[in-house]
Amino acid sequence: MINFKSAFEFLRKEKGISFISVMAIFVSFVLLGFMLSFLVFSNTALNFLQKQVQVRVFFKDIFSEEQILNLKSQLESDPRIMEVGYTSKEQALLIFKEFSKNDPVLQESLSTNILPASLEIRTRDVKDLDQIYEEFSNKEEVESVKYLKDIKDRFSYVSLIVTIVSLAITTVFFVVSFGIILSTIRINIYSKKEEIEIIKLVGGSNDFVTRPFIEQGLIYSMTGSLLSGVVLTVILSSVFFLNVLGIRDLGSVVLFSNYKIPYFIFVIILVVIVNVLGYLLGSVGSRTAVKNYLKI
Amino acid sequence: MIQQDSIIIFENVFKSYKGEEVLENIDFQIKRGEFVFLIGPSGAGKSTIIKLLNREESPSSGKIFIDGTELGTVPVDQMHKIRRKIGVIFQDFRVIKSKNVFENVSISLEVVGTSNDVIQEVVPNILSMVGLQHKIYKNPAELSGGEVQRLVIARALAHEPDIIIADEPTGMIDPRATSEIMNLLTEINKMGTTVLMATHDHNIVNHFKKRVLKIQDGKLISDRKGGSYHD
Repeated sequence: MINFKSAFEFLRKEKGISFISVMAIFVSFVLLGFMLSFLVFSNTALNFLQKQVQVRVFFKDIFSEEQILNLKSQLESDPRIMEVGYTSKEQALLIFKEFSKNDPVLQESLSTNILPASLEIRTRDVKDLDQIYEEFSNKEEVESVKYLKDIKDRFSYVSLIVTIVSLAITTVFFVVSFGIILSTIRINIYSKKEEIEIIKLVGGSNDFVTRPFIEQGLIYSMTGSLLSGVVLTVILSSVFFLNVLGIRDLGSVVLFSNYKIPYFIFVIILVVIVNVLGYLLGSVGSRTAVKNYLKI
Repeated sequence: MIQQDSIIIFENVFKSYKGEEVLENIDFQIKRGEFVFLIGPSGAGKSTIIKLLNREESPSSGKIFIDGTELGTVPVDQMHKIRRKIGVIFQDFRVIKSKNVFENVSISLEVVGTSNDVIQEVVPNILSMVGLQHKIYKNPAELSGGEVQRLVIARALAHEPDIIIADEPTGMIDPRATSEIMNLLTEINKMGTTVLMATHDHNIVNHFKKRVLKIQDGKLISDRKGGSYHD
C-alpha cells in the first residue's frame, strides 16, 4: 500500500530543507535538458553541414565546356559520387551579378571571361571528399579547388567541447542533488529515531519503517524533475515558435547519426527522459540513504 | 515437558550483561488465555523477561517460544510477525510525541495493514474503552500520567493481539485509575487474550488471585496458581 502521508508530513514541517532539495534537483534537470537539447541541435546542424560540404573544382579557360561535361559524366558513374553539378561561366556570371546587384560599378566591369566554369561534387560519404580534393588539386586543367572541410571540422570540435563542459556541469549538479537527498533523509531518520524504534516494537516491518523515507526522496526528485519538465517544455516551445536557429523551418531534429524525428516528439522524449531520471535519482538516493543511515 | 496449549514458553533461559548474570535458568510455560502476574522487587529481572519476549533483547542461552515459534530461529527482518501477536504496555510508555492520541493508537493497526476505513472505526472505539474518547486529538504532552498509561493500553489492544504483556501498567497512576485498568485487563483476558503482567503492587496481586511467577535475583523462585504476593 503506497501511503505518502508520513513523507508529506516531513515536507510540511521542514519547508526550508525540502525547498532547497527540490530546487537543486530542478536546476540539475533543467541543465540536463539543455545539454541534451544542445546535443540534438548540434547533431542536426552537423548533419545539415555535412550535406552542404562539397568539393568545388574551378577549371582554367583552356579546358572546354565539352571536356568539363565529359568529366562530369565520368564522375557520375563513380560509385563514391552522389551528385555532380555544373556551373558554366555564364551561369557563374549571373550568380555573381545577383550577389553584387547593389554595386553597379562592379557589375559594369564584369564579363564572362572573368569567372571560371566549375563542377560541384558531393560524395555519398563525407570522408571521400578528402580523396576527391586530392585527385583534382594536382591536375593541370584545374585553376583551383575549394573544400569547406575546415568549417565542418571546427563546428564538430566546438560542439564537442561544449558537450563535454555541459556534461561536467550536469554531473556536478547530479552529484550535489544526490548528496542533498542523502543528507535530508539522514536528518529525517535521526529526527525520527525514537519513533522508528517504537514502530518496530509494535510490529512494524522493515518495509513499513523504510517506506516513508524512500517516498520522501521520490517526492523531492519527482517534484524537481516535473518542474524542470514544465520549464523545458515552455523554453523549447518558445525556441520553436520564435524560430530560433531556424528550428521551425526545419520542423525536425536529427538524433544519432541520421535518425530524424519531428521537433515536438523530441520535446516529449526529453521530458520523459528527465522524469524517468528523476524517479531513478530519487529512488536510488533514498534507498542509499536508508541503507546507510537506518540500522534496522 | 512442553505442553501443546502453551503460548509462551521459557526453556532454561539465561541472560547476562557484561558477564553479570541477570536471569538464571528461567523455565516456565503460560497457557493460551491465562492471566499471570510476574512479581518481584525492582531489579529482580521482570523487565528483562519482557524485553526477551518482545525480542528487544536476546537470551545468552536457552530458548523462548511464542505461539510455537522459537524466537532464536526468527530472522531479524521477520520479527515483526511475532511482535504483531503481542501487545506490549511499556513501563516507560514509549508513545510517539510528535503524533496525537489517535495516531499513536492507529500506528499499531497501520503496521498490520488495516485499511483506513477500519482504523477510523476501531480507534475511537478503543479510546472510548479506555476513557480517552474526549482526548482523541490531544498530543501526549497534554495528557496526565494516567491518561498516557491508558493511551499505551489502547495501542496495545487495538490490533487484537493474542498476548498482552504489561510492564508495571499501574506503577504511575492513582488507585482509581489502577482499578479501571485492572478491570480492563481482566475483561480482555475473559475474551481469550493471554495476559502477562509484571508488577510489584502486592494489593493487586492479592486481590485478583491469579497465577503468580515470582522472580528474585534473576531466579524464578516460585510459580503458584491463585497465589498472593507473599507466598
